[in-house]
Amino acid sequence: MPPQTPEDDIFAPDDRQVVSFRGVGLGYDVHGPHLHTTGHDPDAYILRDLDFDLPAGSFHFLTGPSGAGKTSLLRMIFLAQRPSAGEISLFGERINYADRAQVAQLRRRIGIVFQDFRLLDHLNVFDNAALPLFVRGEDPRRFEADVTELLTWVGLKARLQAMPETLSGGEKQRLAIARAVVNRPTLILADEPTGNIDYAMGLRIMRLFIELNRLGATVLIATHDEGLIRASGMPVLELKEGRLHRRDLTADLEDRLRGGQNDQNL
Amino acid sequence: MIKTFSLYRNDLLPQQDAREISLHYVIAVLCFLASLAALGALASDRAASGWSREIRAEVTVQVRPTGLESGSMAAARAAELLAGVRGVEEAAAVEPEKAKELIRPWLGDAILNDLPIPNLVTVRLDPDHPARPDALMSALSARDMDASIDDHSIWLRDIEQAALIIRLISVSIFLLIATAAAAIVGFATRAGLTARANIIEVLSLCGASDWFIARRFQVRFAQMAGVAGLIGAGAAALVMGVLKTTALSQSFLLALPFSWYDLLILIPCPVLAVLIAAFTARTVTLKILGAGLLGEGV
Repeated sequence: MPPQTPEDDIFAPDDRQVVSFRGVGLGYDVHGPHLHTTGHDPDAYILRDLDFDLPAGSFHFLTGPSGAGKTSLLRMIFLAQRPSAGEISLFGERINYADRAQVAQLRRRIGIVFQDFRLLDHLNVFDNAALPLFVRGEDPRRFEADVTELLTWVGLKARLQAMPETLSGGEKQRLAIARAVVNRPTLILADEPTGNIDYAMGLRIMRLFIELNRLGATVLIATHDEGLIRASGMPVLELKEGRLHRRDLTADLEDRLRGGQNDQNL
Repeated sequence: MIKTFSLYRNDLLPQQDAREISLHYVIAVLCFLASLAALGALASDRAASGWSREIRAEVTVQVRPTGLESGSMAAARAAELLAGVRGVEEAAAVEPEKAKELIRPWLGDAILNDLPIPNLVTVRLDPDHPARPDALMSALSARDMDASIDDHSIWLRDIEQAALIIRLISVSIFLLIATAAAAIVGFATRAGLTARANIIEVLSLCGASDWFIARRFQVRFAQMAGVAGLIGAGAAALVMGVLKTTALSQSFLLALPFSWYDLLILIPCPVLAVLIAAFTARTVTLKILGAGLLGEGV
């Protein structure tokens, strides 16, 4: 009998969840360099049986050893990678077969911070930060003040017209973060957002993410930084051997009480 | 302060690189050739219509004397008779000496004196309402004159055919150049997209639609084609100006009579270049993005 309600259909998208993964797997094509989307050889999968939800307004860390697939998981969420198996829903819409126009619309609701920044070298700091607003067709004269204020907040006020090649690693990271949050996205994804900045600035950036989360954004941050994870006290999703686990918060708290005296609480 | 920022100039692609300078040059050369083809077509068309108009306005009548009448008397009578026909501006008997002068270059003096010289009447027709050959013939027959009429129709047909061939060649050259320009812009767009795949990926990840990205390339290539088209058309105008004003080219102008008004045909040339470049760049960009040829993330 066909499912009558969303509760009956375990694959039915739930619009209360910003992100939903159901039985998602991702594998490499053994016959070529590309990730394949149709194969079913479980041994070839780098991620498998991923089942999780990110409810609206939630804040999660995503952690795991290098090469565990954190970036691949983020790529699937921001529609740069289609899964090999399972189903992904975003903002209550199934996205496995979203067309390019739908992908563009969905991405406008996502802010992404890349590990390698992905800044445009021929645009200055202001333009790089304002890019998502410009792409949405907004008038630069209207967003000029907001973008300048945001760049001031991340410490780049003096570098508004600087080109990315003249920025330090930390400045590039702050600019990438500013670009990700400039259009008040519903979902913020960040891949090692504090990897190139000092601890104090890292905490400042984390406060920005927490503030945006309080304003309603759903946040998922991939990081190795255990200190930051402990300092925030936010729930953690951990990738191990291709599968996703929820970290036991009690054990984490005990660990935090034992050895985390140096962590500054956010 | 922000006025100098790129986004105010609506320019998300990097400034031109060496590839685009070469493209400028190629499009300028193509526009130059297309402009010359257009100017040549106009001038040759004008020359052909001039020649056919002249030929159409003139008829030669050969009169054969009858009875005791001499050849020159018969020619004079025919000329007088034809001058009164409606649609004839002027009719004059050709003097036997003049007729000999016309034949001499082909036959030479040796045999010219032994040959009978035809008795000719040249008839200049009204160019707007020319008399028909059969009207001339009936006027002559009514007076029992033995005559034949050469309305130059064989030459006219040849000239009209030549003019048609020149027109077809010009249109073919124009179409060839237009398709070559489209192919080059398509190639440059593909190269530009591949070289800027990283930029397009970032734009895509920021939520840019394919149409938004295609518009960037469309505007870029349209601007380039516009500038190159103006340069090409300007160069063609310069060549025509030099040909028209220098004494050395007067004989050339007899064959291809240019007019200053012909320069007006150069105006659509850069416009066409812009349209071809914009359409090609947009189509190729949408096709490449739609096919996912720049990678799955784009």
